[in-house]
Amino acid sequence: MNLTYPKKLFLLFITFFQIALFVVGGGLAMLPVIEQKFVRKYKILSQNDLLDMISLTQMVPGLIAVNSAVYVGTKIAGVWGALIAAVAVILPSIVIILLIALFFRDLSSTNPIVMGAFSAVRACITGVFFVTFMRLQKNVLISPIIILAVFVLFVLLVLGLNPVIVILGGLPIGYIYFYMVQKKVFPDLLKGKQ
Amino acid sequence: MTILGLMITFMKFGLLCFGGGYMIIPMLLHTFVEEEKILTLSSYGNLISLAQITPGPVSINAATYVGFLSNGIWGGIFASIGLILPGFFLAYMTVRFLQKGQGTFVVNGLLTSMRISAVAMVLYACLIFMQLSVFSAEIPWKEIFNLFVLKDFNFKGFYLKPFETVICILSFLIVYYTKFSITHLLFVMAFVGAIYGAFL
Repeated sequence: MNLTYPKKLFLLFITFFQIALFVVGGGLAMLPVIEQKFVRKYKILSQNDLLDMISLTQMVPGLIAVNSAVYVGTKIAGVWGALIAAVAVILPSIVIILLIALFFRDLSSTNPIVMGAFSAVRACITGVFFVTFMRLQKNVLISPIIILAVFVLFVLLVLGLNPVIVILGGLPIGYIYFYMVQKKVFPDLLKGKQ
Repeated sequence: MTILGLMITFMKFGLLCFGGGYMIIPMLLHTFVEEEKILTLSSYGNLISLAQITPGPVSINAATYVGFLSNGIWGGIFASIGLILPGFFLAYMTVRFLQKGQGTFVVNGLLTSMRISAVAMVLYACLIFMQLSVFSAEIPWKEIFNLFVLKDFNFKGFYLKPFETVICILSFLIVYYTKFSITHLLFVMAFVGAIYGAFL
């Protein structure tokens, strides 16, 4: 979809503002909303872009939420896009926390209505995250070697290894696989099944 | 601590956060509870649980609150800005590097491996979110192992929470089969959860 530059900036701001306002849990929890908005609705990112974003945001130091915003912003609208997306993603948090800090000094209150709302939001994110997994794996799990590699990396994560180490450990697999792609042994993961 | 000192401290935290913002929790504890003593340990625990249930990135929430306690409103704002600055520049430069090197062996190999680990990571995140919402406790891997090997098991305290499970499956079906917006869905589900909480 072709959008003008100011419209892209506005879209970035409004989307990341909404994400930060509604998505509890931060970081990776915002992935489904990014997928739905930028890949499905406006078609300005591909699913492969999203996969790159997931690894990249964890490899670079900093917060996953902000790094994702910078990634999407830069891809769509350059440096100004990155800046606007990053501001939009931290703005709601800062305002909400400052309001709480100013008016509710007692931090230990547990309101059942608020707790019910938050636990429903978390459950909803869990369900939505499975949809994102189903959509993203279609482009990647295209050969038995890759399925095995994903399974091994998944087990390493379950065993409690730091994601950064898991990504770095996956590097040799990627280079060997890509070398085989050039020799036309395997299908190219970078193109993926469309 | 001056506001500038506060911002530099948080920039240092931002640079040390490898693999996500959760890394900031022990760092804040060390600097502001043990060294600066502007918080007690128990109020720090409350602060972290508050940061987890309020919307937005957990570490930004925690940073804003600690900054506010240290230097007022501007302290809160500059602590958060300081926290995101290093990641902002590094992420921007990495994206630019990948865009420039597209098609070369180094970048394509890197992208291939990143996609493989990304799928493993999304699957892992599914598991983490299930532990946080649908399951009543952490998944008892040891007990599952016992089930297969020793044929003797004890799943005490581990079950599916009925309300959360229904919401989870419903959300999956709605988003998978319709074009319903996720942000609207989250809003609706928050409302349903609030009603459920009120009657409980």
